[in-house]
Amino acid sequence: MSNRPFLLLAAACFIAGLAVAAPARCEVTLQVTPVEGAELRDLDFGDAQSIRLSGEAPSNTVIRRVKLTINSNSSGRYQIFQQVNSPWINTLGTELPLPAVKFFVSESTPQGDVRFPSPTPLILGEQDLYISPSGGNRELLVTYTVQVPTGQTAGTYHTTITYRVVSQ
Amino acid sequence: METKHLFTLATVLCFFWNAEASAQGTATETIGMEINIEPAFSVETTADQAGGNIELGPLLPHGSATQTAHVIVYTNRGQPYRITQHLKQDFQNEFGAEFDPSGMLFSVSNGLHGGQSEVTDLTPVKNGPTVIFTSNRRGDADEFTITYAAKPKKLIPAGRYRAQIKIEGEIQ
Repeated sequence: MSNRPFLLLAAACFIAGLAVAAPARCEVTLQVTPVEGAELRDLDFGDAQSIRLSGEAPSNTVIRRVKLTINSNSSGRYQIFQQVNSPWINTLGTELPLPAVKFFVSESTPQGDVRFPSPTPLILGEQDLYISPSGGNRELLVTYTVQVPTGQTAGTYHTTITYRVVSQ
Repeated sequence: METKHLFTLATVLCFFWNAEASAQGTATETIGMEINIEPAFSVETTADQAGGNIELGPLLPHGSATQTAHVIVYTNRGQPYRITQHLKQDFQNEFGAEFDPSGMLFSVSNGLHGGQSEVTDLTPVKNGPTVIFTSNRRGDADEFTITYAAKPKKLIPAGRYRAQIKIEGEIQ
C-alpha cells in the first residue's frame, strides 16, 4: 500500500497547525531598567563599607530598584522569573553571601500574583516573581537591599541576574 | 506498527508541536549586579581608665604597678598585618627626671582571632618601633591586650612621669 496519502495528510496537518496557531502567536517583550546607580545598565550598588572608619558606624546598607516592563499582545497569562546566575564574588574569589541581599516585588497597579511582596533573601538559581491575571502590559518594581556583612573583605563583587517572562 | 499509523502519530504530534510553539512566548534579559566594598584598616587602642591614657600608679617606693590597654584591629583588607609599638619619648616627670627605662615593662597577649603575640613575657619598653603582634595568615580583624608594668629597680624621684606611646598597624 502506498504511503503517499498519509504523507500528504501529514504535510497538510503540519501546515494547518501553523495556520491555526499563527494568528494566536504570542509576542511578549521584557525591558529591564535599573532605577538608580551610576551605570543604568546594571544593578549597581556603588560603594559600601564593611567596617567602621574613624570611629564612625559603617554605611553598609544600600537599596537599589529595578523596573521590569512587560508588553504582551496576548490575552494569556504570563509568569516572570528571576535567576541569579553565579555566586556574588570579587576578583580574588571571595564570596559575598547572597542572603545578605533581600528583595521584594511590587506591581505599579496591583492585579497579579506577586510572589515576594515582602523582603526575602536572594538565592542562587531561579525564583518565580509574578504571575499575571491576564495578558497586556505591566510594570513591576523589584527592590533590592544589601546589608553588607561586618568585616566583609574589600573588593568589587559581581554576578548577573537574568529576568525571564514566559507567556501562555 | 504499520507505517500509516506512524504517519498518523507524526501528523498529530506535528500539529500540537506547532500549536504549542506558537502559543508560548518568552523574553529574557540579563543585567550585572555589582557592589564595591571599600578597603579599610584601622587600629584602636583603649585604656581601661578614662581619657585615653594608661595610668600606672600611684607607685610607692619598692612597689610596682600594672595597667592594661586593649587593642582592636579593624580590617577588611584580607592581607596579613603586624602591629608595632613606638615609644616616642622617654618617661620624664615635670622636673625633667627620667624613669629608668629598664623598670618600665610590657607584654602582649595572643589575639582572640588567631593573631600571635611577639612579646609574650614582660620586656622593657624600648625606644623606637617594636613589632608586638602579627595577624593570622588571612589577616583577620583581631583584638589583644597589652599589659604595662612599672617595676623600678631603684628608688626614683617623686613626680608624675609621662611618655607617648604610639600603637600602629602595617599591612605586610
